[in-house]
Amino acid sequence: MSETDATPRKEINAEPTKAFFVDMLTRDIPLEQAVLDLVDNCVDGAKRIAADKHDTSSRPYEGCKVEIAINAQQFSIYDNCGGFDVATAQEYAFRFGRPAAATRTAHSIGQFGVGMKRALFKFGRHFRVESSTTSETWAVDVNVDEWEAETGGWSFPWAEVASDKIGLDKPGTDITVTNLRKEVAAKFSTTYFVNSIVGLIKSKHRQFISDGLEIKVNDTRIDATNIYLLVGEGFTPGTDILEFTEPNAATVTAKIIVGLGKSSPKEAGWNVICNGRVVLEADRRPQTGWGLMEETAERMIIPSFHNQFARFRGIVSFDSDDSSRIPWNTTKTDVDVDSNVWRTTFQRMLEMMRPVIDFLNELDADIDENTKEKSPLLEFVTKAAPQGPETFQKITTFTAPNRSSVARGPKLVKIQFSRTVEDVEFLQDALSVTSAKAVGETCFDMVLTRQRD
Amino acid sequence: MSGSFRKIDYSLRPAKYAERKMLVDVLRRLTPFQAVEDYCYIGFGSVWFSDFILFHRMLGINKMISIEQAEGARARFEENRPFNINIEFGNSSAVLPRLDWSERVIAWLDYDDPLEPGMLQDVRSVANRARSGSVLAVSVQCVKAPSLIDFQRDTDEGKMTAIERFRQTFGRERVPDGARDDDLAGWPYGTLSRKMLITEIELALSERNLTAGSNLRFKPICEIEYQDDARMCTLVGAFVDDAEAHHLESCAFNRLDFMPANQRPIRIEMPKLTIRELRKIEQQLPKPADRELDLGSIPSSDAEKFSRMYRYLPNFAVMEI
Repeated sequence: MSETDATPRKEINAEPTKAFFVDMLTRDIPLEQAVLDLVDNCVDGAKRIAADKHDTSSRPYEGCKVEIAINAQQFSIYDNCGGFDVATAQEYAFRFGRPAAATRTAHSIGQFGVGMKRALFKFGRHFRVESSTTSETWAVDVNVDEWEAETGGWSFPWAEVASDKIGLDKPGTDITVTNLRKEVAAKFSTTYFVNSIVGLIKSKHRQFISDGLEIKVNDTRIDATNIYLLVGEGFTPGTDILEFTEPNAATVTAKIIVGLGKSSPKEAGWNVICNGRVVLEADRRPQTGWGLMEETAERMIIPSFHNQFARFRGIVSFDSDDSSRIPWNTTKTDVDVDSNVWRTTFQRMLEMMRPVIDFLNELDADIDENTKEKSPLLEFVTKAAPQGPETFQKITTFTAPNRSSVARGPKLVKIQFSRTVEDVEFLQDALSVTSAKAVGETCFDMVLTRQRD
Repeated sequence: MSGSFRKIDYSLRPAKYAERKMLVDVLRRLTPFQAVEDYCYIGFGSVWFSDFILFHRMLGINKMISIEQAEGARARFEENRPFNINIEFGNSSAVLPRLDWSERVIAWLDYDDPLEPGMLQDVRSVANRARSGSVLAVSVQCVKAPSLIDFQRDTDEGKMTAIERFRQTFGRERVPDGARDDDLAGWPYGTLSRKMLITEIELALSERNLTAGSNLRFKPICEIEYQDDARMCTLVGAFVDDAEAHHLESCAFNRLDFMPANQRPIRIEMPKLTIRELRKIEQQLPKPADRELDLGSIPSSDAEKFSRMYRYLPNFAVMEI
């Protein structure tokens, strides 16, 4: 029998199995980021509420809250940020990827259409999502093992609403994941993980918290931190604002601020913020310019990070109504270095950080010569007042005094020497001082007084 | 551990002495797991070996390992060794991983210094290896965190707060979100240090359980606060897996008379009383529940301290040989 005689063959099956899909989807995201993705969805809800109210106050998210509970048995996240309607649940919220027709929250941070599903599958094998708007209430309940075992049917079953936290009079979303994966349960059971989530939310969602959003993790309310830059007379951070426009596309603005903060090695570096969501925090990698070599001349453009730059603060804020235009990766853990918006901004960042680095080098030299206590340049810096980045709206260049222009006392020289521990401790006791340094200084002063007499 | 043997005579610290004796009573209760004398004791014996002497004499523990980092004074340590104690020279971070952890151990990491990242590493080493039924005690100094000292010395007006410095030293995952500058001195600092030790042990166990398929937990037994010269605190707990959880129940540590109710730490405070006064109170102890102590002119707070833990307090006398 020749092949042409046969009944038409069935088409080749290339449909992914659900188990494979779930595995692929959840593989590349760290557990911590998956939790943050769910918080991002709540933030988008709060953004919609603020936009509907045309709230232009300094705390537009006041009244919006997010409550997260993490333990070895289950994960839950509840918010009162407006909820989703049935149509959104049917057509978009549970689809893998965003349908072209889906409406976007302007200026959103949960833009990739994968965050919630990815997190739910990552955490456990049973999840329940319940949501209510002011006009509709719905619930979805999925046993992942059963769902994976069914062939075909890429749909989730509706369920009865059971949460008492949400309702038509209290719109919001309540998500619970149970039957946690073994490795997830192990992590969720540790204080270390909970602390790290608190720390991440504190920094990554800092702007939303300071704009009024209340976030609680295991009943502890998280307060926001802020970045401060020092300002004084003749001492201002550099600020620049770039705009990226394209026909038929939303504009992206990039605001760059560079300057000095207090000396804190772990806070020093670049902060990259996308639509209010912090993506990079105190970054000191070559991606943000540190240790960057000029390819042809093998010359350092910007030195690698070193503790003498512990006062460096750089902030880049990208904002756009269309979040897909912003240069960040899908897990919101890094910038998209190939994006044109990033590359142009990056060049400007390098130019703007150079004078700050130069000044910090001068400051270091001044401290080295005069000691920390007596450096006039350091004194100038520490007298400057800290200000939040929102206060810098005008384009200005970084200005700072140079060493020769600040008032100086008599010229100093630093003395350094070593003696046996036994002798130093003996004198420390005899002179009743608390450090080896104080022993040296006290001895010097005593002899000097005696000799001058 | 940093060479403090050159400064402190360990045998003359009364609160420490009381702590050691209390630990003896705690350890006595481990029999549901196995005979106490079959445990291996791991400690920092210094040149005094006070804990070793007590545990050998009172508990009959025979297998003893002392970790000693001051390798330079090797001969002195060997000469002061009161029993057949195996002295392992080297830093605890290097020695702990190379010890034999296949048998149950009692490990007392009795540091002289305030909590530092290296100690958390040691605690992780133990939590990664100790088998169910093993006991871990950790003592740290809690006078003032180095971060707070640095903060107070820093003359910069816009300086980092002490707790920020502390977080940068340990990592924000290790420090509870609510911790503030005033958690870095005195007894609150002790509470914070113990909390961080437990967080670290939990973390190590969660990873270990996952890879080894075990279900070990760290169950705190008691926390002790005491002060001779510097304020110190101790965390004592046991590693137990589900299969042996009932053994831990049978130990009934809460029946020890010095265990405070409501999970509070045991605070060892030295009563300031004369020998005559001590005798007068002692004659009335143990006190029947329905009777008050006849104190006469003895201050009641000191009498109360004494009667709470008189069985553990040392009796000092000057002896001329």
